[in-house]
Amino acid sequence: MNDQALLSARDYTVQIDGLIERGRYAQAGSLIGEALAHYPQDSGLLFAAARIDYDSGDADGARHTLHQILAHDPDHYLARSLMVNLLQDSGDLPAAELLLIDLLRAYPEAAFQYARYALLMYRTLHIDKAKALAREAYRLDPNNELALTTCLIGDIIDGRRGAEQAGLARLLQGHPESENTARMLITHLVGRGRYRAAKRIAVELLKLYPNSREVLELVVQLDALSHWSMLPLWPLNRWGWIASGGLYLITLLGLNLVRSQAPLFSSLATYTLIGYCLYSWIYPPLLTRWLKRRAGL
Amino acid sequence: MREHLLTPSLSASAAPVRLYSIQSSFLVAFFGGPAASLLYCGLNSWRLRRLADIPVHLAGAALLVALAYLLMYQPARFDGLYQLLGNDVFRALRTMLALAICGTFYALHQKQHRSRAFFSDKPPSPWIAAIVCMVAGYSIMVGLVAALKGMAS
Repeated sequence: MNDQALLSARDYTVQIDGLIERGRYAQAGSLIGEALAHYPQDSGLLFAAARIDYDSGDADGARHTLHQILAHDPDHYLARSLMVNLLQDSGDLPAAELLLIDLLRAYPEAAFQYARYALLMYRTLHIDKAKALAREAYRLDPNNELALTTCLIGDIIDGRRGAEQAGLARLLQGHPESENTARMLITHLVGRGRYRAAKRIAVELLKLYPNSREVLELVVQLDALSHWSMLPLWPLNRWGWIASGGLYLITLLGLNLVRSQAPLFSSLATYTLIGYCLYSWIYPPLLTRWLKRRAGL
Repeated sequence: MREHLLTPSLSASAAPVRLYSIQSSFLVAFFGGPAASLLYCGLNSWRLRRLADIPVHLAGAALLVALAYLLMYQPARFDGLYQLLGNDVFRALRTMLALAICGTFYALHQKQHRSRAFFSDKPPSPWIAAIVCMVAGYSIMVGLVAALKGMAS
Protein backbone atom coordinates (compact mmCIF):
# COMPACT_ATOMS: atom_id res chain seq x y z
CA MET A 1 0.00 0.00 0.00
CA ASN A 2 1.25 3.52 -0.82
CA ASP A 3 2.53 5.33 2.34
CA GLN A 4 1.26 8.68 1.12
CA ALA A 5 -2.32 7.42 1.10
CA LEU A 6 -2.07 7.52 4.87
CA LEU A 7 -1.22 11.21 4.95
CA SER A 8 -3.82 13.62 6.26
CA ALA A 9 -5.11 16.44 4.06
CA ARG A 10 -3.11 18.85 6.21
CA ASP A 11 0.13 16.88 5.65
CA TYR A 12 -0.50 16.83 1.92
CA THR A 13 -1.05 20.60 1.97
CA VAL A 14 2.23 21.20 3.82
CA GLN A 15 4.14 19.03 1.34
CA ILE A 16 2.49 20.68 -1.67
CA ASP A 17 3.11 24.20 -0.32
CA GLY A 18 6.78 23.29 0.08
CA LEU A 19 6.97 22.16 -3.55
CA ILE A 20 5.19 25.33 -4.73
CA GLU A 21 7.63 27.49 -2.74
CA ARG A 22 10.51 25.82 -4.58
CA GLY A 23 8.76 26.27 -7.94
CA ARG A 24 8.39 22.52 -8.53
CA TYR A 25 4.92 22.82 -10.01
CA ALA A 26 4.90 19.54 -11.96
CA GLN A 27 5.68 17.51 -8.83
CA ALA A 28 3.20 19.56 -6.78
CA GLY A 29 0.55 18.99 -9.47
CA SER A 30 0.91 15.22 -9.42
CA LEU A 31 0.84 15.16 -5.60
CA ILE A 32 -2.31 17.28 -5.62
CA GLY A 33 -3.98 14.85 -8.03
CA GLU A 34 -3.21 12.04 -5.61
CA ALA A 35 -4.33 14.05 -2.54
CA LEU A 36 -7.60 15.20 -4.10
CA ALA A 37 -8.45 11.58 -4.93
CA HIS A 38 -8.55 11.01 -1.17
CA TYR A 39 -9.89 14.39 -0.02
CA PRO A 40 -11.87 15.85 -2.96
CA GLN A 41 -13.61 18.56 -0.91
CA ASP A 42 -10.65 19.76 1.17
CA SER A 43 -10.39 23.55 0.82
CA GLY A 44 -6.65 23.65 1.55
CA LEU A 45 -5.87 21.16 -1.20
CA LEU A 46 -8.26 22.79 -3.66
CA PHE A 47 -6.66 26.15 -2.95
CA ALA A 48 -3.19 24.70 -3.56
CA ALA A 49 -4.48 23.36 -6.91
CA ALA A 50 -5.86 26.81 -7.79
CA ARG A 51 -2.57 28.42 -6.86
CA ILE A 52 -0.61 26.04 -9.08
CA ASP A 53 -2.99 26.70 -11.96
CA TYR A 54 -2.67 30.45 -11.41
CA ASP A 55 1.12 30.39 -11.17
CA SER A 56 1.34 28.23 -14.31
CA GLY A 57 -0.87 30.63 -16.28
CA ASP A 58 -4.03 28.49 -16.34
CA ALA A 59 -6.42 31.26 -15.25
CA ASP A 60 -9.57 29.33 -16.23
CA GLY A 61 -8.51 26.28 -14.22
CA ALA A 62 -7.72 28.44 -11.21
CA ARG A 63 -11.03 30.29 -11.49
CA HIS A 64 -12.98 27.03 -11.73
CA THR A 65 -11.26 25.62 -8.61
CA LEU A 66 -11.77 28.85 -6.66
CA HIS A 67 -15.49 28.83 -7.51
CA GLN A 68 -15.56 25.24 -6.23
CA ILE A 69 -13.99 26.33 -2.91
CA LEU A 70 -16.21 29.39 -2.52
CA ALA A 71 -19.35 27.33 -3.28
CA HIS A 72 -19.00 25.44 -0.01
CA ASP A 73 -16.88 27.97 1.92
CA PRO A 74 -17.83 31.51 0.77
CA ASP A 75 -15.63 33.14 3.46
CA HIS A 76 -12.41 31.34 2.48
CA TYR A 77 -9.89 34.18 2.85
CA LEU A 78 -7.12 32.88 0.58
CA ALA A 79 -9.55 31.85 -2.16
CA ARG A 80 -11.17 35.30 -2.19
CA SER A 81 -7.76 36.94 -2.10
CA LEU A 82 -6.55 34.94 -5.11
CA MET A 83 -9.84 35.63 -6.89
CA VAL A 84 -8.98 39.35 -6.67
CA ASN A 85 -5.81 38.62 -8.68
CA LEU A 86 -7.78 36.70 -11.29
CA LEU A 87 -10.36 39.46 -11.63
CA GLN A 88 -7.66 42.10 -11.98
CA ASP A 89 -5.76 40.05 -14.56
CA SER A 90 -8.93 39.59 -16.61
CA GLY A 91 -9.58 43.35 -16.51
CA ASP A 92 -12.73 43.08 -14.39
CA LEU A 93 -11.53 45.83 -12.09
CA PRO A 94 -14.94 46.84 -10.62
CA ALA A 95 -15.55 43.24 -9.48
CA ALA A 96 -12.01 43.08 -8.07
CA GLU A 97 -12.67 46.28 -6.14
CA LEU A 98 -15.94 44.96 -4.68
CA LEU A 99 -14.23 41.75 -3.59
CA LEU A 100 -11.39 43.70 -1.99
CA ILE A 101 -13.91 45.86 -0.10
CA ASP A 102 -15.68 42.69 1.10
CA LEU A 103 -12.34 41.32 2.28
CA LEU A 104 -11.52 44.56 4.09
CA ARG A 105 -14.91 44.59 5.81
CA ALA A 106 -14.33 41.01 6.97
CA TYR A 107 -10.66 41.63 7.90
CA PRO A 108 -10.41 45.33 8.82
CA GLU A 109 -6.85 44.96 10.15
CA ALA A 110 -5.48 43.41 6.93
CA ALA A 111 -2.81 45.93 5.92
CA PHE A 112 -1.88 43.77 2.93
CA GLN A 113 -5.40 44.04 1.48
CA TYR A 114 -5.47 47.80 2.03
CA ALA A 115 -2.17 48.00 0.13
CA ARG A 116 -3.57 45.88 -2.72
CA TYR A 117 -6.61 48.14 -2.88
CA ALA A 118 -4.22 51.12 -3.01
CA LEU A 119 -2.43 49.53 -5.98
CA LEU A 120 -5.75 49.06 -7.77
CA MET A 121 -6.66 52.69 -7.15
CA TYR A 122 -3.26 53.89 -8.43
CA ARG A 123 -3.78 51.79 -11.53
CA THR A 124 -7.20 53.33 -12.18
CA LEU A 125 -5.89 56.87 -11.53
CA HIS A 126 -7.78 57.45 -8.26
CA ILE A 127 -4.56 58.84 -6.86
CA ASP A 128 -5.83 60.57 -3.72
CA LYS A 129 -7.81 57.56 -2.59
CA ALA A 130 -4.84 55.30 -3.36
CA LYS A 131 -2.58 57.41 -1.17
CA ALA A 132 -5.12 57.38 1.67
CA LEU A 133 -5.39 53.58 1.41
CA ALA A 134 -1.59 53.27 1.38
CA ARG A 135 -1.38 55.41 4.52
CA GLU A 136 -4.02 53.23 6.19
CA ALA A 137 -2.08 50.09 5.28
CA TYR A 138 1.10 51.63 6.68
CA ARG A 139 -0.73 52.69 9.87
CA LEU A 140 -2.00 49.15 10.40
CA ASP A 141 1.37 47.50 9.75
CA PRO A 142 4.39 49.79 9.32
CA ASN A 143 6.60 46.83 8.42
CA ASN A 144 4.37 45.38 5.72
CA GLU A 145 6.31 45.29 2.47
CA LEU A 146 3.37 46.12 0.21
CA ALA A 147 2.24 48.93 2.51
CA LEU A 148 5.73 50.46 2.36
CA THR A 149 5.76 49.99 -1.42
CA THR A 150 2.40 51.69 -1.96
CA CYS A 151 3.45 54.64 0.22
CA LEU A 152 6.65 54.89 -1.82
CA ILE A 153 4.68 54.80 -5.09
CA GLY A 154 2.59 57.72 -3.77
CA ASP A 155 5.76 59.69 -3.02
CA ILE A 156 7.17 58.93 -6.50
CA ILE A 157 3.92 60.02 -8.16
CA ASP A 158 3.84 63.21 -6.07
CA GLY A 159 7.46 63.89 -7.04
CA ARG A 160 8.47 64.37 -3.39
CA ARG A 161 12.12 63.38 -3.59
CA GLY A 162 12.91 63.59 0.13
CA ALA A 163 9.94 61.43 1.07
CA GLU A 164 10.77 59.05 -1.78
CA GLN A 165 14.32 58.54 -0.50
CA ALA A 166 13.09 58.04 3.07
CA GLY A 167 10.46 55.54 1.87
CA LEU A 168 13.01 53.66 -0.17
CA ALA A 169 15.38 53.57 2.81
CA ARG A 170 12.60 52.07 4.98
CA LEU A 171 11.88 49.44 2.32
CA LEU A 172 15.58 48.58 1.95
CA GLN A 173 15.96 48.35 5.71
CA GLY A 174 12.91 46.15 6.26
CA HIS A 175 13.01 43.99 3.14
CA PRO A 176 16.51 44.13 1.63
CA GLU A 177 16.25 40.78 -0.16
CA SER A 178 12.84 41.31 -1.71
CA GLU A 179 12.24 41.41 -5.48
CA ASN A 180 9.81 44.24 -4.90
CA THR A 181 12.48 46.33 -3.17
CA ALA A 182 14.88 45.73 -6.06
CA ARG A 183 12.24 46.89 -8.55
CA MET A 184 11.50 50.03 -6.55
CA LEU A 185 15.22 50.76 -6.33
CA ILE A 186 15.54 50.33 -10.10
CA THR A 187 12.60 52.73 -10.64
CA HIS A 188 14.26 55.25 -8.30
CA LEU A 189 17.62 55.02 -10.10
CA VAL A 190 16.06 55.24 -13.58
CA GLY A 191 14.16 58.34 -12.44
CA ARG A 192 17.52 59.89 -11.51
CA GLY A 193 19.11 58.91 -14.84
CA ARG A 194 21.47 56.38 -13.21
CA TYR A 195 20.95 53.66 -15.79
CA ARG A 196 24.17 51.71 -15.19
CA ALA A 197 23.47 51.34 -11.46
CA ALA A 198 19.87 50.32 -12.24
CA LYS A 199 21.14 47.75 -14.75
CA ARG A 200 23.52 46.20 -12.19
CA ILE A 201 20.59 45.63 -9.81
CA ALA A 202 18.42 44.27 -12.63
CA VAL A 203 21.20 41.81 -13.55
CA GLU A 204 21.31 40.60 -9.93
CA LEU A 205 17.52 40.25 -10.05
CA LEU A 206 17.85 38.17 -13.21
CA LYS A 207 20.31 35.85 -11.43
CA LEU A 208 17.63 35.28 -8.78
CA TYR A 209 14.85 34.79 -11.35
CA PRO A 210 16.61 33.37 -14.44
CA ASN A 211 13.33 32.20 -16.02
CA SER A 212 11.55 35.52 -15.70
CA ARG A 213 10.94 37.02 -19.14
CA GLU A 214 9.76 40.26 -17.51
CA VAL A 215 13.05 40.73 -15.64
CA LEU A 216 15.03 39.86 -18.78
CA GLU A 217 13.12 42.55 -20.70
CA LEU A 218 13.93 45.01 -17.92
CA VAL A 219 17.65 44.16 -18.19
CA VAL A 220 17.53 44.64 -21.97
CA GLN A 221 15.78 48.00 -21.65
CA LEU A 222 18.35 49.19 -19.11
CA ASP A 223 21.15 47.77 -21.25
CA ALA A 224 19.89 49.92 -24.13
CA LEU A 225 19.61 53.02 -21.95
CA SER A 226 23.13 52.57 -20.55
CA HIS A 227 24.76 51.60 -23.87
CA TRP A 228 27.77 53.77 -24.82
CA SER A 229 26.17 54.69 -28.15
CA MET A 230 23.20 56.23 -26.30
CA LEU A 231 25.39 58.73 -24.45
CA PRO A 232 24.58 61.62 -26.85
CA LEU A 233 20.89 61.05 -26.13
CA TRP A 234 21.31 61.15 -22.33
CA PRO A 235 19.61 64.57 -21.91
CA LEU A 236 16.60 63.41 -23.94
CA ASN A 237 16.34 60.15 -21.98
CA ARG A 238 16.81 61.89 -18.66
CA TRP A 239 14.42 64.84 -19.11
CA GLY A 240 12.15 63.45 -21.82
CA TRP A 241 9.87 65.85 -23.64
CA ILE A 242 11.07 68.85 -21.62
CA ALA A 243 14.51 68.25 -23.15
CA SER A 244 12.92 67.92 -26.60
CA GLY A 245 11.22 71.32 -26.15
CA GLY A 246 14.55 72.76 -25.01
CA LEU A 247 16.27 71.25 -28.04
CA TYR A 248 13.72 72.95 -30.30
CA LEU A 249 14.41 76.33 -28.71
CA ILE A 250 18.18 75.86 -28.91
CA THR A 251 17.85 74.77 -32.54
CA LEU A 252 15.76 77.80 -33.39
CA LEU A 253 18.04 80.30 -31.72
CA GLY A 254 21.29 78.51 -32.62
CA LEU A 255 20.51 78.16 -36.31
CA ASN A 256 19.46 81.79 -36.67
CA LEU A 257 22.60 82.86 -34.83
CA VAL A 258 24.81 80.73 -37.09
CA ARG A 259 23.00 82.02 -40.18
CA SER A 260 23.61 85.64 -39.21
CA GLN A 261 27.09 85.34 -37.67
CA ALA A 262 28.72 82.52 -39.64
CA PRO A 263 26.72 81.79 -42.82
CA LEU A 264 29.45 79.44 -44.08
CA PHE A 265 28.61 76.96 -41.30
CA SER A 266 24.86 77.31 -41.70
CA SER A 267 24.38 74.14 -43.78
CA LEU A 268 26.74 72.17 -41.54
CA ALA A 269 24.80 73.23 -38.43
CA THR A 270 21.46 72.41 -40.08
CA TYR A 271 22.58 68.94 -41.18
CA THR A 272 24.13 68.23 -37.76
CA LEU A 273 20.87 69.05 -36.00
CA ILE A 274 18.79 67.10 -38.49
CA GLY A 275 21.19 64.16 -38.05
CA TYR A 276 20.89 64.37 -34.26
CA CYS A 277 17.08 64.45 -34.46
CA LEU A 278 17.01 61.45 -36.82
CA TYR A 279 19.50 59.62 -34.57
CA SER A 280 17.29 60.25 -31.53
CA TRP A 281 14.21 58.92 -33.36
CA ILE A 282 15.59 55.97 -35.27
CA TYR A 283 18.56 54.62 -33.34
CA PRO A 284 17.08 53.75 -29.86
CA PRO A 285 14.37 51.37 -31.17
CA LEU A 286 16.90 49.69 -33.45
CA LEU A 287 19.37 49.20 -30.60
CA THR A 288 16.64 47.85 -28.30
CA ARG A 289 15.48 45.45 -31.02
CA TRP A 290 19.03 44.21 -31.57
CA LEU A 291 19.62 43.74 -27.82
CA LYS A 292 16.31 41.90 -27.48
CA ARG A 293 17.24 39.57 -30.31
CA ARG A 294 20.63 38.97 -28.71
CA ALA A 295 18.91 38.12 -25.42
CA GLY A 296 16.57 35.69 -27.20
CA LEU A 297 13.42 37.77 -26.67
CA MET B 1 -12.43 57.38 7.77
CA ARG B 2 -12.42 53.75 6.74
CA GLU B 3 -16.01 53.90 5.54
CA HIS B 4 -15.00 56.63 3.13
CA LEU B 5 -12.16 54.45 1.87
CA LEU B 6 -14.40 51.43 1.48
CA THR B 7 -16.81 53.11 -0.91
CA PRO B 8 -16.45 51.68 -4.44
CA SER B 9 -14.85 54.05 -6.95
CA LEU B 10 -15.11 51.90 -10.07
CA SER B 11 -18.24 50.98 -11.93
CA ALA B 12 -18.92 48.25 -14.43
CA SER B 13 -20.55 50.74 -16.82
CA ALA B 14 -17.58 53.14 -16.97
CA ALA B 15 -14.25 51.85 -18.24
CA PRO B 16 -11.15 52.84 -16.23
CA VAL B 17 -9.61 56.11 -17.38
CA ARG B 18 -6.81 55.81 -19.94
CA LEU B 19 -4.95 58.99 -20.79
CA TYR B 20 -3.36 59.90 -24.11
CA SER B 21 0.40 59.83 -23.62
CA ILE B 22 2.58 62.89 -23.17
CA GLN B 23 4.53 61.79 -26.27
CA SER B 24 1.47 62.06 -28.49
CA SER B 25 0.46 65.37 -26.81
CA PHE B 26 3.92 66.75 -27.55
CA LEU B 27 3.82 65.68 -31.19
CA VAL B 28 0.30 67.07 -31.70
CA ALA B 29 1.43 70.38 -30.17
CA PHE B 30 4.61 70.47 -32.24
CA PHE B 31 3.04 69.66 -35.58
CA GLY B 32 -0.56 70.79 -35.03
CA GLY B 33 -0.10 74.11 -33.23
CA PRO B 34 -1.82 75.66 -30.21
CA ALA B 35 -5.45 75.07 -31.20
CA ALA B 36 -4.79 71.38 -31.88
CA SER B 37 -2.87 71.13 -28.60
CA LEU B 38 -5.77 72.68 -26.66
CA LEU B 39 -8.22 70.25 -28.25
CA TYR B 40 -6.01 67.20 -27.71
CA CYS B 41 -5.21 68.08 -24.08
CA GLY B 42 -8.92 68.72 -23.62
CA LEU B 43 -9.52 65.04 -24.35
CA ASN B 44 -7.46 64.07 -21.30
CA SER B 45 -9.26 66.69 -19.17
CA TRP B 46 -12.56 65.24 -20.34
CA ARG B 47 -11.47 61.68 -19.58
CA LEU B 48 -10.42 62.76 -16.08
CA ARG B 49 -13.64 64.79 -15.67
CA ARG B 50 -11.51 67.70 -14.44
CA LEU B 51 -13.73 70.79 -14.33
CA ALA B 52 -10.78 72.68 -12.85
CA ASP B 53 -9.10 72.54 -16.27
CA ILE B 54 -11.79 74.71 -17.90
CA PRO B 55 -10.22 78.07 -16.86
CA VAL B 56 -6.85 76.84 -18.18
CA HIS B 57 -8.47 75.98 -21.52
CA LEU B 58 -10.09 79.41 -21.66
CA ALA B 59 -6.79 81.10 -20.79
CA GLY B 60 -5.05 79.09 -23.54
CA ALA B 61 -7.72 80.07 -26.07
CA ALA B 62 -7.45 83.74 -25.01
CA LEU B 63 -3.67 83.63 -25.40
CA LEU B 64 -4.05 82.12 -28.85
CA VAL B 65 -6.46 84.86 -29.98
CA ALA B 66 -4.26 87.56 -28.44
CA LEU B 67 -1.14 86.20 -30.15
CA ALA B 68 -2.87 86.00 -33.54
CA TYR B 69 -4.23 89.55 -33.11
CA LEU B 70 -0.85 90.98 -32.08
CA LEU B 71 0.99 89.24 -34.90
CA MET B 72 -1.52 90.57 -37.45
CA TYR B 73 -2.06 94.11 -36.23
CA GLN B 74 0.80 95.02 -33.91
CA PRO B 75 3.84 93.22 -35.33
CA ALA B 76 6.07 96.00 -34.06
CA ARG B 77 5.78 94.45 -30.60
CA PHE B 78 7.85 91.53 -31.87
CA ASP B 79 10.64 93.60 -33.47
CA GLY B 80 13.24 92.13 -31.13
CA LEU B 81 12.18 88.61 -32.04
CA TYR B 82 12.13 89.45 -35.77
CA GLN B 83 15.74 90.60 -35.47
CA LEU B 84 16.68 87.39 -33.68
CA LEU B 85 14.67 84.85 -35.69
CA GLY B 86 13.94 86.56 -39.00
CA ASN B 87 10.99 85.06 -40.83
CA ASP B 88 10.68 82.20 -38.35
CA VAL B 89 8.90 84.37 -35.77
CA PHE B 90 5.35 83.30 -36.56
CA ARG B 91 6.26 79.60 -36.68
CA ALA B 92 8.38 79.88 -33.52
CA LEU B 93 5.70 81.68 -31.49
CA ARG B 94 3.02 79.28 -32.69
CA THR B 95 5.12 76.25 -31.73
CA MET B 96 6.22 77.72 -28.41
CA LEU B 97 2.64 78.56 -27.41
CA ALA B 98 1.55 75.05 -28.41
CA LEU B 99 4.38 73.49 -26.37
CA ALA B 100 3.58 75.78 -23.43
CA ILE B 101 -0.06 74.60 -23.55
CA CYS B 102 1.09 70.97 -23.73
CA GLY B 103 3.51 71.54 -20.82
CA THR B 104 0.85 73.23 -18.69
CA PHE B 105 -1.58 70.37 -19.15
CA TYR B 106 1.20 67.87 -18.48
CA ALA B 107 1.86 69.67 -15.19
CA LEU B 108 -1.87 69.53 -14.37
CA HIS B 109 -2.13 65.81 -15.17
CA GLN B 110 1.38 64.90 -14.06
CA LYS B 111 0.35 62.57 -11.23
CA GLN B 112 -1.96 60.62 -13.50
CA HIS B 113 0.72 60.36 -16.20
CA ARG B 114 3.29 59.17 -13.64
CA SER B 115 0.87 56.63 -12.22
CA ARG B 116 0.12 55.32 -15.71
CA ALA B 117 3.82 55.06 -16.50
CA PHE B 118 4.49 53.32 -13.18
CA PHE B 119 2.09 50.50 -13.95
CA SER B 120 3.16 50.34 -17.62
CA ASP B 121 -0.46 50.79 -18.70
CA LYS B 122 -0.69 51.14 -22.44
CA PRO B 123 -2.22 54.47 -23.49
CA PRO B 124 -5.06 54.46 -26.05
CA SER B 125 -4.05 54.64 -29.70
CA PRO B 126 -3.58 58.36 -30.43
CA TRP B 127 -3.82 58.28 -34.22
CA ILE B 128 -7.49 59.08 -34.89
CA ALA B 129 -7.80 61.59 -32.05
CA ALA B 130 -4.51 63.27 -32.99
CA ILE B 131 -5.39 63.57 -36.69
CA VAL B 132 -8.89 64.89 -35.92
CA CYS B 133 -7.48 67.44 -33.43
CA MET B 134 -4.80 68.57 -35.90
CA VAL B 135 -7.32 69.02 -38.72
CA ALA B 136 -9.76 70.80 -36.38
CA GLY B 137 -6.91 72.91 -34.98
CA TYR B 138 -5.87 73.98 -38.47
CA SER B 139 -9.50 74.85 -39.32
CA ILE B 140 -9.80 76.90 -36.12
CA MET B 141 -6.64 78.83 -36.99
CA VAL B 142 -7.92 79.55 -40.53
CA GLY B 143 -11.29 80.64 -39.07
CA LEU B 144 -9.59 82.81 -36.45
CA VAL B 145 -7.42 84.59 -39.00
CA ALA B 146 -10.46 85.13 -41.25
CA ALA B 147 -12.48 86.46 -38.31
CA LEU B 148 -9.69 88.86 -37.29
CA LYS B 149 -9.36 90.08 -40.88
CA GLY B 150 -13.16 90.53 -41.01
CA MET B 151 -13.01 92.65 -37.83
CA ALA B 152 -10.46 94.95 -39.40
CA SER B 153 -12.40 95.47 -42.65
